[in-house]
Amino acid sequence: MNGTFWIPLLLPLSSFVTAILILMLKESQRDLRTAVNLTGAVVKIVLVGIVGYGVYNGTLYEARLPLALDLDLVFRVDDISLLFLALSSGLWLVTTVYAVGYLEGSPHRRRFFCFFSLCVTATMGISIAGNLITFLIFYEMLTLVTYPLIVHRGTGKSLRAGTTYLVYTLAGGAALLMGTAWIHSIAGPVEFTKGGALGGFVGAHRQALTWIFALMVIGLGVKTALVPLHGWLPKAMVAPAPVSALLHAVAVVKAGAFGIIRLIYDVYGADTAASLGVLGPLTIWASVTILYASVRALYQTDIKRRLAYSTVSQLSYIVLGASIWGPIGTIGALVHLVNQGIMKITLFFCAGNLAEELHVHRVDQLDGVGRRMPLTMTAFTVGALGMIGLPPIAGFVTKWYLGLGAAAAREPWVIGVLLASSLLNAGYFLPMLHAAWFREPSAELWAEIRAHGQRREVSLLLLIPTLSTALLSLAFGVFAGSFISPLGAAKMITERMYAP
Amino acid sequence: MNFIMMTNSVLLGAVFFPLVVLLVVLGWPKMRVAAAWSALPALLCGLMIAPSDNARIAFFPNFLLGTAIGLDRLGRVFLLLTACVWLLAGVYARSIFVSMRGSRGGKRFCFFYLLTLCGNLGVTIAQDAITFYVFFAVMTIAGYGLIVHARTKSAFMAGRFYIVFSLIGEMLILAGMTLAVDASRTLLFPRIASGFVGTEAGDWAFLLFFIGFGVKVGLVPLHVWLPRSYFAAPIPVVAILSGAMTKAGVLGWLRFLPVGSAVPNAWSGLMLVAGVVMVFYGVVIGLVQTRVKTILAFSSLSQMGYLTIATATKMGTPGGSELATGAVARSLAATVGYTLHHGVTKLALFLGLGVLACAPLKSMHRRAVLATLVLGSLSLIGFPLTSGAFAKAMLKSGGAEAGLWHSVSGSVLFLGTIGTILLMTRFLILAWRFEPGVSSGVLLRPTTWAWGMAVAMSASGFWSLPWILKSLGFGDRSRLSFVESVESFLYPAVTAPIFLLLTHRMLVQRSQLTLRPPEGFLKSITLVVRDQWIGGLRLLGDRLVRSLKRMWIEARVGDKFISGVERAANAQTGWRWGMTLFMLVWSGLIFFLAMGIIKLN
Repeated sequence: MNGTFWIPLLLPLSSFVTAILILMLKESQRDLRTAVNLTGAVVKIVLVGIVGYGVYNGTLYEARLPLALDLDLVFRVDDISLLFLALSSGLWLVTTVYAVGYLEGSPHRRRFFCFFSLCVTATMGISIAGNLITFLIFYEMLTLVTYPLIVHRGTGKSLRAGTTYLVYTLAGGAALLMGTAWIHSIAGPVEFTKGGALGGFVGAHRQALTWIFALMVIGLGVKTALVPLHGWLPKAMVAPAPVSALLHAVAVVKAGAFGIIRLIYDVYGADTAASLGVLGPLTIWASVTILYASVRALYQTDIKRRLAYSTVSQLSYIVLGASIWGPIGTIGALVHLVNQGIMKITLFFCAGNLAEELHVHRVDQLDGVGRRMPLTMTAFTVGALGMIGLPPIAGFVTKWYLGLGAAAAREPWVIGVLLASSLLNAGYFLPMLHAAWFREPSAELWAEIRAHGQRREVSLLLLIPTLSTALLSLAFGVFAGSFISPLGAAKMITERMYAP
Repeated sequence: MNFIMMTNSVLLGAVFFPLVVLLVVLGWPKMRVAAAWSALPALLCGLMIAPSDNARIAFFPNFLLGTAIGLDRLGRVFLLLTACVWLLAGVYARSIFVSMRGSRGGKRFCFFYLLTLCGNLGVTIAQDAITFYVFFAVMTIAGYGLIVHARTKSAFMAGRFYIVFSLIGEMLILAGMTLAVDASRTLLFPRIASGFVGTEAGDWAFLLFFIGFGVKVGLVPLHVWLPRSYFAAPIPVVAILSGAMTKAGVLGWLRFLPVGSAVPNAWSGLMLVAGVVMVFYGVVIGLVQTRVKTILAFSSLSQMGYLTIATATKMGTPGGSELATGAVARSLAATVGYTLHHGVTKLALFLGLGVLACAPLKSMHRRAVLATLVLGSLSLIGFPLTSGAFAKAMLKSGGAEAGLWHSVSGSVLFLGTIGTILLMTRFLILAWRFEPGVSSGVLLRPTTWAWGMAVAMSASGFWSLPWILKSLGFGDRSRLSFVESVESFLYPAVTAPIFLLLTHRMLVQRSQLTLRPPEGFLKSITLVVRDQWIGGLRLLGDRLVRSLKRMWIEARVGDKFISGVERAANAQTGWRWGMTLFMLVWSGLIFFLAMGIIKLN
């Protein structure tokens, strides 16, 4: 019993303890609650830092607890989980700050922050799960603890959205459970292993393994919002902005994408999956999703809904990269796991700022808001241009590696998909930027500007997280070559993964 | 810190200087006057730093995907031209920079000017594909702000065209880059271009680069954005577009397209044909224009055609024997020479037009300005003792001996010169009639000495251009003798009056609608041109506009298709659909578990 055993347990526990503490506080103890929240977030970042240093130097962090029968609860920090850990702990901190500012003065904040912390607990568990059953448990936990966040406002619309969400994700979870059980009946308890754990069973169970793969991708695809399993995501937009931000950047959707990466690389193994011939159809599925969702996004008039469809499209970039066989595609997938998170959270923060400050919810209300909220719209511009994949913002790095991966895998049509998607992204983001920066403000907005002057933007608690994630999106692109950037991490992971 | 790092750091400093100025200006708006001078450090760098081909490239592995920068011979020429054009146009436009809120948004202009400048300068010193692309994209995207500066309806329409075409170009370039990098396994410049020749995806990579950068250059079917932007943007911006930004596309070709005997003949042949088409298309369409800025835009298009030809001959010449090193060097020198000639001449012409447009001038001054316009036009035509004469002579001798270009160069240049004569005559007639205030765009108080500098540079070109090229290391061709330059202009000089006579009514026409073609053979030709080609092109243009508009849909849910999709999406997010899925999956699961238990027992 030493550090390498306890630290993996502490990672989810730190958020769990935060959640319990918040539950014990009174609704009115705002400052104490904020302090607890931030302490939890900072402690977690420190822990992740320690673990990161350890993993980089080759330390193995593993905790194994017996669960039932022959099943163990395994927590293990490897380099892929580290990437996800760093993303979620970092973004949790900024989102907490943002949420404190956003929910200022609204009711039920205790409940909100409690489930918020539980949500992160589940995400932590997912990222360090060392076998399928542990993954599954936390995956289901995430489904359940996110529900109260989505229905937080308690209106009829949000309750309906919550129901849709539950139906979709529980069904997906069931499919995942079915797949897990099936694998278990073939190969026993499956641990996540570099190069895959199922390579030895292909000969005898080829057919079954193919079906299991399909089943599990469908299960994970609900959270990854692969078309036509994406319906819950745009509806879940009724949630408060910080929830949408976290939902879209890290917690729920990334859990699905992360699961697919685990499934391909650590359960099946890229070579095994390729030999089963299941990657090709997945590439096509991801491509269809990318294009379909981009087209749908063009027609959305609600800013958050447009962003939601953009998420659906961007998530499939990750699936696309993972399903193209070869190290370069893998780098693309892993780096987009982080890049999409940081850019999308920026966009949602901005949407939240606009709604909070100016009650702007629709695209056609954006005219001239750049004059009233220049900093917010600068952040939005950075995020949007990054999503299109314009350099030097983080999104470009992803697109470059995915394109290069497709060229290396001799599937040039994928490059066409990427470019078409980029153009479509431009088609729904650029008009928003144009309206915000170049159109004249409406009469009401002018009155607003005159009343408040140029100086006031929005409260600092909302502005600082927005600007810091925007800055990071830029930095992740400009300094992509440095080894601490997401690209550096993704390259290191891929090198270790494909090492003989 | 060795010498290489030091020079390159200075170079980087000069390229990012506009961004530093930007930060200063955002804090202290009063400093905006100084922003007009932001290209000065880059100009000094270009003058002082001696170039080298490979030895002095600095690597910055932490930036982007590993950045390589350095100044080679080619980059230096483009750096000098770019810095020069931006500096003169910037100083010329000083009054836009200082204009305060409400009066035409000096802050906005300043912001986009500096950002675009940084991108345009960076393109010239980038030594790897990614860095090049990054700066190119910054230039392209920020350029939107300059083009729509007037914020009129036509400016926004022009901006829309610009951004749509440019983005498509960017995407094509990116696709080409992925293919080329995959084939050549390097990001660095000379090798990325030579690496993809003869590979499986080589043809695709070439086409993607050709078309992708061609959007910027104005390759004919993709030039649609160009005249519109020229018409709608403020004069200094147009000068920059024509003098520097379109040239960045040429630099892209020179950097990304391979050279040598392995290059398929079809590639250079395609480029050659495209160039020839541009030369004549620009003239024909330009002739029927009625707005003076638009005529210059089409003249630019036509001149960029010559540059396309020069680039093509640098790659190789179809039909020619193996391209000798000397021939490559000659063609490269021709490309560079033509770039400098056209960049500076167009700068002088546009800035002069701006002087004419800004305010009513005394008739003496007005005549002086018109005289400089005549001078610039003569230079474009290739009149003896102008830089154009020298540039065209270089162009003619480019490429391999006995290649396709050598067999057609005489006639193409002859006809092209005739066309340019007609076009520039039309331009001068319209400039003569031009009244201030009629032009669209932003009225400004130009700094006339900046324009004077440009005119001086352009006018001295016949003597200075050979010297500049020699000292920059491009060939050792000395200047033409007076007799030589007259000789090469002999045929056009003799035949041009005939053409002018035949078309004089068209040249002096006031509006497009009252076109009255002369009788006889020419009438039919003009009718064909007017009714068939132009009508057809207009129709094509309208269709394109319409489809582009459709692409730009913001919210048009009324469409049947869309409502269908909407309904389908709603149905599947609805309760029943989800519940059915839910029941199915769970019952499947229970069945599965039950089977498992039975099996275990």
